[in-house]
Amino acid sequence: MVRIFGCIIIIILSAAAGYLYTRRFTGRILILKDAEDKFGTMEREVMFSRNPLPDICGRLGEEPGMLSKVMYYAFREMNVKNMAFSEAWSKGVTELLEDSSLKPDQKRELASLGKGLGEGNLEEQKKCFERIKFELGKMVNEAEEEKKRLEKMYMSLFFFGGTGLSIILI
Amino acid sequence: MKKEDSFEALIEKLPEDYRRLLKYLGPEETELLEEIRIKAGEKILLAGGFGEIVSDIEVSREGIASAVDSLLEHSVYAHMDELCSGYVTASGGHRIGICGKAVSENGRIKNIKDFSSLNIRRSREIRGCGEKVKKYIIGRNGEFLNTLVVSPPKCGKTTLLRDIVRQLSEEGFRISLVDERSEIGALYKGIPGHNVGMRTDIMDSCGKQEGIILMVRSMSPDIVCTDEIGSPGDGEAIKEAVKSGVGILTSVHGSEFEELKNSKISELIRERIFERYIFLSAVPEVGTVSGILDRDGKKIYG
Repeated sequence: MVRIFGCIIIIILSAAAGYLYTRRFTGRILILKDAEDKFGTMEREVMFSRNPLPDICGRLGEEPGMLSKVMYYAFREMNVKNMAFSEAWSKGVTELLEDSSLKPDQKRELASLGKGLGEGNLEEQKKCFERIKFELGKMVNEAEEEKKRLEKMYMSLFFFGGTGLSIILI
Repeated sequence: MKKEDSFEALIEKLPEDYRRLLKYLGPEETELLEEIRIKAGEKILLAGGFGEIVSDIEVSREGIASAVDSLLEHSVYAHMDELCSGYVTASGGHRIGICGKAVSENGRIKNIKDFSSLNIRRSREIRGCGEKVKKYIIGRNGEFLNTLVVSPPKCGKTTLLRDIVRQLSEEGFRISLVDERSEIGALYKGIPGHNVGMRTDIMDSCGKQEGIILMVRSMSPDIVCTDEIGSPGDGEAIKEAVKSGVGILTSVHGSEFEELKNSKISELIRERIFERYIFLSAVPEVGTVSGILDRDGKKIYG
């Protein structure tokens, strides 16, 4: 009886471990989609209202979303340390998303997205936003593909691993 | 002036290496500081009532790019229209002249890049400088007399206009200020950097011709004020305003009344639109009212 109970616990725990492990796939997509959302808002504010980047980042920093803290960080660094947006954004991503579910290459790409923003006229900003939209779109697609491919596999792996272990113990 | 609008606050936005340039000046010299000239490959120059001081701070290409980025709120695109006119107005009304490589299209500058030099000019309010002319521009029945301030460059014309606007506003006149170059009111994010009076409405960075007509139609002013008229279009807009019963306070480059009769605004002079002409000079000091004439060119002061 105790063994059976123990096996059930092992199976439940291994399924839970599988679920927690695979949450990273969803986490990556959420961060990247939040980046799409925030840069989309930034683009509209730049192209239609010509609002300065520190003001935009300050407002985006108060909105919900996983990248709000990075936006707020950029706002602070631009205002207090007179840092350019690209540098402030890169530093923010590197420092604040270190423990996030993003892969190292995703963090690097996300950190480099700010390059060129704030540095030229509206035409040049439009090209920057087009590049950002393209890069983020690619990253989101790859993350969704990866989730589709690997999420079920890892959940099954953990579940059947736990089940196998239970059978061995019994 | 609020602390964040001060010249010192503007200097704080420069790259860290450049901020120490105030150490070259004593407290009196800091007060007299008028311009900071920053040029790639050269040392920073400080100019003002003390003459000129050459600092030992060398300016690099990266340094000047960083200075421009910081002074333009890390958002060059947000200041593009001003930048393509060669200057940007900062909070507090201070003017930043910017040079670099102009990118033109169809004869118009559409971008400036590879910045090569900056000239940061301090803006000052001198409250009360308009006091001595006020009684000459108000008629016997308390009505405003259309006034033209005539001055060579750098004689305090804008400073005088600003104070006249403030004083008239405080007297109860509703004033519409068409501030094409953001010098008089120095509007920054909707807030004037200079006190131009509580009854003054400011249309910032707007062409004079359109601005005058717009303000006359929308803000029902007693007086429209603008700086440095010179084109035939400005003259037409002024005549429209006067026909609508609105007073005109403006300025023009010049030094003699006879000169005005042959200038681009000669039609306004011939039609006796202006009832008062205030002449400024830099002798013995900037802002000296050298004379005030009536509409016929007869001297009533000076």
